Formats: sequence, structure tokens, C-alpha cells
Amino acid sequence: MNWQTKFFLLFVIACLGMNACVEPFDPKLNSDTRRLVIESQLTTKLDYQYVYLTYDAPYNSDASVFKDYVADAKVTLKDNLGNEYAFFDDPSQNNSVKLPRGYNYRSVDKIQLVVGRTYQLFVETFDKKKYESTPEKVVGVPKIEKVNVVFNEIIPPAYLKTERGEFRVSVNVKDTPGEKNYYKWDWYNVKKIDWCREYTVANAAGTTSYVQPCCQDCYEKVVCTNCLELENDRLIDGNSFNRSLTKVPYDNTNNYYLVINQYSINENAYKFWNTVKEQSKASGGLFDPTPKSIRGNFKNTNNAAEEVLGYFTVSDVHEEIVIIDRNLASPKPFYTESYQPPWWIQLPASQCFACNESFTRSKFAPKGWK
Amino acid sequence: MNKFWLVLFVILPICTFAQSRVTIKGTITQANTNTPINGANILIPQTGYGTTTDSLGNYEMTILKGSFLIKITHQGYFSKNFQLDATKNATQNFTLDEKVNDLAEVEVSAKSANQNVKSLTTGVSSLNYKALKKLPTLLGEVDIIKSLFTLPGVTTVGEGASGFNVRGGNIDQNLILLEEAPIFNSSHLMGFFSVFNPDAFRDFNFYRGGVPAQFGGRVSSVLSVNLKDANASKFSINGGVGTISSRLFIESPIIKDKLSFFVAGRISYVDQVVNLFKIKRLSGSKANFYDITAKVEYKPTKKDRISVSAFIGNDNFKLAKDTISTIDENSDARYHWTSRNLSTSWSHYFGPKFTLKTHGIFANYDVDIINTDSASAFTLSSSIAYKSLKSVLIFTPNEKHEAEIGVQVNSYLIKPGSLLPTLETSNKNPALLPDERALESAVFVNDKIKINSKFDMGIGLRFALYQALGSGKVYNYEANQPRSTLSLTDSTMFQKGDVIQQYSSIEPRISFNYSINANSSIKASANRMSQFINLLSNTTAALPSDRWKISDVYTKPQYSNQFSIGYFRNSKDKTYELSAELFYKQLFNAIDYKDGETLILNPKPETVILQGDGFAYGAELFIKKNLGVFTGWLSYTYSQTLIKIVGDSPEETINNGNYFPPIFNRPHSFNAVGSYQASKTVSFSGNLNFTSGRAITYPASKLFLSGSFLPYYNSRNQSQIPNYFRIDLSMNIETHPYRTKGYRSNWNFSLYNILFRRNAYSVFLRQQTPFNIYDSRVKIYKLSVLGSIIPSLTYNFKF
Repeated sequence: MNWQTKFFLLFVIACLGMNACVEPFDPKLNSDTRRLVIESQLTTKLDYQYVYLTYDAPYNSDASVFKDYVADAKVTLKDNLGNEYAFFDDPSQNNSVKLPRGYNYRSVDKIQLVVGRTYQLFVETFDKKKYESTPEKVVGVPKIEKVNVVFNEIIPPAYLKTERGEFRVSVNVKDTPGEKNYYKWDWYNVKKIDWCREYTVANAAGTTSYVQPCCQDCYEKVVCTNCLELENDRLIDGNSFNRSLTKVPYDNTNNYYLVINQYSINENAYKFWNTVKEQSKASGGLFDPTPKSIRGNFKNTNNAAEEVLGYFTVSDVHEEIVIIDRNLASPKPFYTESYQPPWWIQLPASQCFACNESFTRSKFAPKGWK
Repeated sequence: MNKFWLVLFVILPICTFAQSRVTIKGTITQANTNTPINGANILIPQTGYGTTTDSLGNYEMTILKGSFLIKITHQGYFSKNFQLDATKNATQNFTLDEKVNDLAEVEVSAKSANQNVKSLTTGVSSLNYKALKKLPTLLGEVDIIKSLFTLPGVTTVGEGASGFNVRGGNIDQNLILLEEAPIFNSSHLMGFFSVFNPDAFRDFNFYRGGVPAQFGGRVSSVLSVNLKDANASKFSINGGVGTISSRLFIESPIIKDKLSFFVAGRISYVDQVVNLFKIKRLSGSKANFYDITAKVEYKPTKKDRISVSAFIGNDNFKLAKDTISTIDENSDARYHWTSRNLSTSWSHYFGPKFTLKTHGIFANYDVDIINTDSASAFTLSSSIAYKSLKSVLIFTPNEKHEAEIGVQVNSYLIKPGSLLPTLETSNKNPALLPDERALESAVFVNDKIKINSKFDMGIGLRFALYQALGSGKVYNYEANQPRSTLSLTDSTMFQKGDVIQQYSSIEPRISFNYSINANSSIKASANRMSQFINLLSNTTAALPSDRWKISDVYTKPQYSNQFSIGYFRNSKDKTYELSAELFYKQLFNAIDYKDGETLILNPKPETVILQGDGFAYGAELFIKKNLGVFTGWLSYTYSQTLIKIVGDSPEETINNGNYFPPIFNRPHSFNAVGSYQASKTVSFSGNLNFTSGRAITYPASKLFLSGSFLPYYNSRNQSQIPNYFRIDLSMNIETHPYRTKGYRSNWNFSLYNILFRRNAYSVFLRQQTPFNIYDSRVKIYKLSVLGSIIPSLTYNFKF
């Protein structure tokens, strides 16, 4: 090895040395108290509305927040005109979280909030502890002016079997001038499913999985967890603005049915959700802000010192449905068909499983399905 | 508390006694060039009495009649001893020979070894360039700020963080002066380099305990960095070419013995080097800087010296999108910052008793964040401009007193932020925050009194008057409500020049030195300091773009009272010196922030800033070997800082109103620095650093919200990240060790972090699989800024 080569190698090491590195670490964190977590976002859309109750769990542990349920709680919504709406414990209706009881509280009737009214949420747990949110006022939200879908081609190296593009989705919104506006977006995908149940049986060979076909047409709502965008008009008051939201994968040629909800929220809710968003992506980097408490807007009516977590958000909502045509002439996606389970675990049509109506599943095609 | 100090100051008697004495004066110059030597020590070891030469090489001392041995020392020169028969007033000139490569005696201190015991104040460190050169270097350069980290009482938040923390103080609480002009950001490349060019640097004084009254405006420490004297007698060039940065220094006389100058430049090209290797994950990163330091000195007469020095530093920094950058909107942003400093000074030597030094200072710090993303393109600019006039009269009536009397006026102009959309397609509205103006005036007096052969004391008093000036708008808020946009009622307008708010501060500075014997002493000091401008920063590491804020109606000035006591001892032959110090510091109006609030472009920062009181205490141990082929030091510090912020509402209270440590709290810090001169040609040096992990807030629990698991935090900074441990080595090879003139050069090879240790900069949390909500285990990671060893190679030359 001549000295030039040695120097070159040394130099490469020096440059790599400037790279940050990240590795697992266990600070052994424990928790000695259990705190109630209440989450609810109620909107002006006439529908069944939900309140979710859980307890927190020690941080750096395998303990699940779904181990102890908050069953038999009394959940009530009140508005400033004196109207009261009851919620009841609705087990197993939410297929995204399969819980027996004590998580999923649904409004007894389909309800809708009214812009300009103030609402307050009350929760009484089975051990007679009473909790209440701060009163929250519903403010109006402008409609989405336009949804933009732009295909962005990705050229992977020839040896990589990865997606060859993505559809970038953004919205155009005209902000209302002269007032403080805070926006929140979430979105979900609805797809038609062929297989309605997957189950596993134990046997001599270990376990074997089976998938059962649906007995009828079945549509599933795929909620994107952790997908949440926020905006405030502090710097863009009264302007039209473009907000990019999500990227739809180009993994087959079927239409992609996307539902975007644009919500109005108030200043404190914005701060709360912004904290949640920052918290979930803090990387420990040089520019991370100091951690923030995401305590929320609930308190124990009789014990102000008790830490109650979660947030009660009220929103006006504007919903926009976009059907993205993914059947492009060129490039073609790497996989042209939707994913199918291996044939040897597929059960015949005679052993079909019913498409049960639920929070995420329906026999009925959503509006405008094609 | 103020009254107590005032009384103490006034009633302390000043006594002098007339004895039979003679006055000896003269000039000390360099042997071959006749250049006056500034800061040479003239010491009579028999009596312990001594003095120091001024910038023109002049000294004067009044001593008892008799025959004495005089010892003349200076870090950069061979020591000399003279026998002096002092029977009548006399002029006695001396010359010293420059140390080119001194094998026998490598002193690490800029002052004589006896300074440890004889100097008046606690918590003072001085180092000069030759001592710094013996330290192992990061990225091939001598670094003043990094050398501070090896001294007791100084820590940093972590590698890659700007600034430093002294005895429980935040980074903006250090007054950093380059030739009297303040430096608002002492870092290049986010802390990997400091702004001080090693070629242009002469020495620094770092005060973390007893701070003389001529310094004020910060509550924690003073780092006063002096440039080399521009007193070249011939044209010379030196420089260095390295793998990460290169330097060039040129000095020359213009009119011999009257007018001379030097210019020192430095340029770094890390990003260019990285691009050469096409490392994909770093493409798009920018990391480069340059700086120029220059000085011109004019000596119109033997008694006058006029100097003008200037500094310009320019940085560009942008992290590639997929590295550790996480600011979502600004992940594509480039940071560009520029410091411009100009100091002019005039020293006039009226005679042995009076010298007058006058400084005119201008400093400016500009930062731009430039985002070029078409949908949100903007430039966000902010700046701070500082102008100052300072005049100090040094009065030495007799050998018992050395007094300084001075006046200083500083003006501040802060442009806290302006945002301009830079493309038609940008969705940003322009925004402009109003300018902030302030005037800080101070008068000060300081006297070093030699009460008797055992007892010295220094008393000083500084009176500062601070005025926040118009034009400006002060927002008013509902009483008994947390200050927020929701409790805003109206505003009061102030015209240009109106005094919006005024604060004053009386700051006594007292120090004592009791000599137990010729080799040991006990020292104590007490001082009060105030601070009227603050750096607002709520991220882990300070950003170059963090906002400076003047004290105003809502943001009160910060104050500190510091008490320290120390025991200082030298071995008989001065080979070893030891010091042990204790300090206790009270902090008033320390700044913290409400959770989750934005500081940048916030027109009402008072709705975010919270203030509270706290305290810091600690013990510092320092052992140094000054002489021999092996030199170095060990330092250990134990310290704790606690702050309490209790507001009227939970929103304005941190950590439920209990004391909490600030993020930079690192209780234990141990440093070992050694240098071994193996031969005339080769020397080795090493550095070991152990520091306990900084404070961090870990989650109390996890909760399920909006489809993901989130950490819940309920108390501030109650845990620590893993401890920090690092060893560095460097080797220096002189190519022409016996040459004293002509072309000389050396190779410096250094290894930073030889243990390949991945020291934690921070610890962060990630949920394992966002879609599998049943598997709720959360992964915790540690981030290390430096992932491995960093070698560097530099070739330095001089001719």
C-alpha cells in the first residue's frame, strides 16, 4: 500500500467519523402511577361519534395500554344550550382495535356538532372518579378548494423490486382573512377486500394460518395511524395556500379511493396536536425542542392534582373524496395486481366469512366508488 | 444584600507606609528583534514582589533598597535571572531570547508559576498559544474553546453544540471578548471549530470566579481573548494546510518600529471534501466557513500605541435532509451567519503612574435562514449590532496600589427577525418584528491593594445603568391572567429615544489573598454580576439563529451573586501547582420557556419567557505540572445547578413548581491533559475527558393517542444521559528543530476519540412499528454526534 492509498483511506475514515450514529439504549424506565387517557374528536358531520378511553403504561416496557380497560364508564357530552348526548361502551365494533370492552365508547345516536356552540365532555369511571374537559367551541372551516394529485416517477436501480413512483396528494385552501385559523387534516383509504378473516390454528407442525374469502362485496377503511397534518395561518392569513398531505403508493393499477378530512381546531388544540406530532417524530437531534408535556384539557373534577391525559377536540369538518387513477400507460407498477395470500392457505368460497358492518368495514360501496 | 456590599466597600481602609525605597524602571525587549515584550513578569523571589510589562514593554517598580535577585519570565521566552543592587533610582533594560523549541522547560501557564499562589482572584485561568499547541487537537487545529473544557468548572452540552457552560451558567451568560469586542457566536460549524484563529491568538484570560469590575454585562464568566501584537520587525508568513481546513498568516512592518500589521485567514471545506467521495447520505450537506482576523498597530511616539483590529467570520451550514436534521419545514434550510467585529484602541503612557486605554468597539452578528423550497421559499434574517466606548485609567500611585477607573457605554440594536418570501410561489407572508434598542452605561473602579506581605485584597465596584429605548410597542395584558395572546388588552407606543424601561445594578467585586507562606495561599472572592441581554433558545443545542432579546418591561435582567474560596499551593521548586476551590452562586431571573412555544418570529416573546431563581454550587480541584519534559494537568469538578420556576398558572410553572436542573447540568467532570517532549523533534500529547451525562427528561409513561404510542412527560430534566468519556492523542514532528530563522515547519497528526467511543449526545424514543398497535414496546436510542475516531493531519509552516 503506497502512502497515497493510506492517506486516502485515512481520509475516508475521517469523513465517516463526522457521521452521527444511532444505536439502541435502555435507560430502564418505570412508572408507579396509572393515568386515565381520554381521546375524542367530535365533528359537525352527522354520524356515530366516538370517545376512546385507556390507561397509560410504564414507558420502556412490554406492558400494553390495553391490558386494563376502562369498562363501565359513564360518558356524556353537553353543549352550552343544555343538550346532553350519551355514549355507551361499544365492544368489538372497531376492527382496528379489537377490544372486548372499555375502550370504544360510541354515541347512542348519530349526532353532529354545530358551529358556534360550546361543548364539554364528562367521564365518570366505574370507581366514581369524575373527569371533565374544558368547554370547547366549534369554529367553522373553509372547504378544500382543490385536491392536487401529481405522479412522481421514481427510478430504482434495476436490481431493486421497489415501487416505481408515488402519487403526491396536496390540497389548496383559501384561508379566511382577519381571524386566527388552525387546520388539522387526516385521511383514510377505502379498498375492496377479497379475504374477510385470517385465523391461525395450532397443530403438530406448529401453527397454520388460513384466510377465508368474503361472502359478499366488502369494503375496508384503512386508517392511516400517525398521519396527521396541521397548519396555522399566522404567516399566511387570508392567502390561498397549498398543503401537501400524503403520498399514495404506486403498488398496483387499481383506483385508489382516498378520503381527506379538513378540520377546524382551536388554538389550544392546535398546540396540543402539534406537540403530539413533534413528540412522535422527535429524533433526539441537535435541533429538537425540549420535550413537552402532552397533558391535554381534562381534569379530575374533585382532584386537580391528578394527571389526566388526552384531548377533547371539537371541529367543523370538510370532507373531500378523491379517486386516484393508477392505471398509467408508463411506467407500469412493478406489481400490477393487489397482494394475494399464498394459495395453500386460501379456503374455498364455501367456507366464506361474512362482511360484518363495523367502524372499518361495510358491505356497501362508499360514495362515488369506482 | 446590596447595602452590605456598599458598606464593606466604603469602610475598608486603605493604608500605606513610607519606607526607604528606590524606583527601578526600564524596557524588556526581544534579543534579536528589539521588539518590546508585553506581559513579561519581573519578580523578586526573595520578597515575592513583582510587576508585569505593559504593551510597550515598559515596567516600573518601587522596591526597598537592597541587593536582590531579579527573575524575568515570559511564556514565549527563556527565563533570565539578574543580580540587582538597588541603591538609587535607576533605569534597567533587559532582553530575552525567544524560545523556539524549548526542551527543558515547557510552562503551561502564561504567567509565572508563582501566579497560582500570588494572584489575587479565585477562578481565573490564563493560557497562551504555546501552551495550547501542546494540547491534542480536534481536526488539526488549536482550539481555545476546547481548551476551556479541560479546565475546572467548564462543560458543554455535547459535541457539536455551540458555546460552553461555566459553573452552572447558560451559554449566553459568558462574555466572550476578542480584543474587547463581544463575540455573539463563538462557534464555526455548529461548535466543531471556534472563531479564534490560532495563528492570530496571543493569550486569553478566563474569569469564572472573581471577575474584575471592568467587565460586566454577563452573569457567569468572562473570556477575554487577546490577539498577537502587530509589531513585526520583518515580513513573515506562516500557515497550515490540513485535511479539513487551512490557514495563512502574514505579518509585516510598514514603517519600521512605527507601523505594522498582520492578517490571518482561515478556510474550511468539509463539504467539498465530502463531495469528493460521493457519500450519498451526505449529499446536499453544506458545512464551510472562512474567517479573517487582522490588526494594524501604530506607535506615533514612544508613549502612544494605536491599534485597529478586525474580525470577519462567515459560516454556511446545511444538513442533508436524511441526516439528523428534523425541523420539518426547515429541514431544507441553510444557515448562514456572519460576525463582524472592529476594535480600535489607543494606549497612552503618561508616566509610571498613569496609563490611559481607550477602546472604540463595533460588533455585528447577522444570521439568515434560507429556504429555497418553491412552495415555502423564504429568507429569515435577524441580527444584533453592538457599539461601545470604553476608557480605563490605570493608576499606580505606589507599590501598594494598582487601581483602574473607567467608564463604558454600550448600545445594542437587535433586529429580532424579518421573514421575506423569496419566490412568487411561496405561501409565506412577509413578517417583520420591530427593532429593539438599549443603552447600557457603566462606571467602575478597581483597586488591588497590598496590605502587607501576607495579605492582598482587591476591591471593585461597578455601577450599571440600563435603558430599553424606543421606538417600540409594549403590549399590555390582563392582570392575574397568564400572559398570552388570549389575555392581551392593548398596547403602549413609545417614540424614538423614549426610555421604555430602566434598570440599574450595583455590583461589588471583592477578593482576598492570604499568603500562608511563599508557596501557599488562601483566596476568597465575592461578586455580583448583571445581564441585560439574553439569548432565547429552547432547543437542546443552541442554534446560530437563536434570538437575542434585550431586557424590557416583562423580561427582567438576570443577576448572580457568586462566592468562592480556594486553597492554592505550589511545590517548592514550582514544578507542581495545586488549587482547590469551592463556589456558591445565586441566580436571579434565570430564563426558561413555556412548553411547546415558538420563539422565532414571535412578536410577543413575553408570552413564552418564564423567569425564576436558582442556585449553583460546586468544588473544583486542579493539579498541574509545569516543568520538565512531561507537563500537564488534572482537573476535577463537582457541581450542581437547580432552578425553580413558579408562575401564577400551571402554564407558567415548570416541573410543578419544584427545583429542576437545567439541561447542561453535569455533576462530575474530570480532565487529564499531558504533553511529553520525547526529543527535540517529536512531542506527544494526550487528553482524557470524563463528564457525567447531561440532564434529560425521560417520559413518565406511554399513552395511546390518535393511533400511535406517545411518551408522556411530567417532570423536567430529572434523569441523565450516559456518561461521556473520550481520549485524544496527538503527535507533533518538527522538521527543523534547531533553526531559529528561515523556513521552519512541523507535521501535526491527531486522533480524536481514539477509543472509538460513541458518546451519547442525546437519547430519544421511537415506537417500534407504527402500524402494529398491539406491540407497544417503545425503542429507545442514543444519538452520538461523533461515531468514531477522527484522525487529522496538518502541515504547518513558517518563514
